[in-house]
Amino acid sequence: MEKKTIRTIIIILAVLIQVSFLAVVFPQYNVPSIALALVVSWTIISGFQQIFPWIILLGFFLDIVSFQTVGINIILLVMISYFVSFFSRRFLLEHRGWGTLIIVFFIIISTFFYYSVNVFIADSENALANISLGNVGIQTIVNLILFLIIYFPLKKIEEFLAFYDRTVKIK
Amino acid sequence: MSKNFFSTKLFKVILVIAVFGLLIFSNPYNLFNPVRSIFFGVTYPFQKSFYFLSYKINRFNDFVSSIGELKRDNEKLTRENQKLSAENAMLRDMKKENAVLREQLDLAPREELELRSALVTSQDAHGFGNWLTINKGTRDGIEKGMPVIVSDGILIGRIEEAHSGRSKVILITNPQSSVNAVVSDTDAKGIIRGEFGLGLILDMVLQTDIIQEGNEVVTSGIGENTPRGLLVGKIQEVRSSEDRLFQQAVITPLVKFSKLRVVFVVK
Repeated sequence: MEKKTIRTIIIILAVLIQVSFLAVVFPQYNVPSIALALVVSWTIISGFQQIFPWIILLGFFLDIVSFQTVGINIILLVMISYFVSFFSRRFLLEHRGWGTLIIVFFIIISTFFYYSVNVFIADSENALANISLGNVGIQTIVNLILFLIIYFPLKKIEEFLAFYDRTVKIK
Repeated sequence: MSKNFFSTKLFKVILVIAVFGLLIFSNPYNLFNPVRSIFFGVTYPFQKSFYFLSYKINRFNDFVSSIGELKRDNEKLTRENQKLSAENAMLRDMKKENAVLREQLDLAPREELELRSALVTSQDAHGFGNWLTINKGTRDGIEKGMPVIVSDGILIGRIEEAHSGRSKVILITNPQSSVNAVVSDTDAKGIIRGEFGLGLILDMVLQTDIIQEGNEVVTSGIGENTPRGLLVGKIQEVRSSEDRLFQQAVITPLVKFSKLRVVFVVK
């Protein structure tokens, strides 16, 4: 129960911070995506199977708050999570020295995919002309920084929740 | 298909894409409006706090980056102040004359705008500057289509969706936005459209009309809820459209949308 409550609170806070804080503080077209950083972090820490329903909830709330058609962010974030899970199981575990490079690769691909789809949704007629590599580059860097800020505390929280679960089961 | 396939990650992804793809395709947009209203109602205090904090950070950033420009800005503002004072005096004169003439010709008075103030609580999540939300909705008399301005009578957008306690404002820089406009100095008519990455374009201006850099562009009030005379921006650059049939102008907005805190809905 505590695990569900804490994860729900994290999701709601992430969504509110995205629209009411990051979108205001950061310059236009260079706003980091906390949802993306959260999905990548959570998938690496807890695995796709465990985090799958929570990604749907995150995507749902993001669609609600950003007035998009419900389902768009759900599909995008689930696909990103699957992509991260697919490659992380093969590389992060088997080739530990490449871990950092692989994570950078995840962030680059995920950012490009997420940004491109959202640009297409915002202005489909001129989507190709509007996808600027400069903006994608800056977004990748800020997403990477945000990932680093989120990953370690989130890992601690998930470890605590796992420990708490084991303690409760033993009792 | 083996039973194991249904428990694989790939199956779950396919299922999500199928179910939510169908939902997107059928687009029952209003189905989730009650959920939106409840969510915004519950999270409003947090949204307000986060927005207030981000606004303060923005102000601080602006202050730090502008320290070097303060002296230059001060001189520029002093000159502009003097020019505006002179203009103001002339306009007061013209207003008196206008009132006298209206009385003599028995004309109706210029429309007084009924305004409803609102706080901005969130902005476009992806940073494209396409929309923002305000803390007023249908229970405050807000309806879809109402124009939204800032205090100086500068148009920033219109209400696209109104829920009970929250409304979404589509900004004029949104590619889906279009406003009938007129160049105040030359009476050249056109349509203001948002353009991704550029901001605002005044389009469909006849080649025979005169438009110049520095001209102010206002709403023409033709055929929509938007009243006449709301300022939109100043012309920054003039060019021909791709097909060369019309002129186009790039408009500099007078407002930084990311720094808005209070707006007014024109009822």
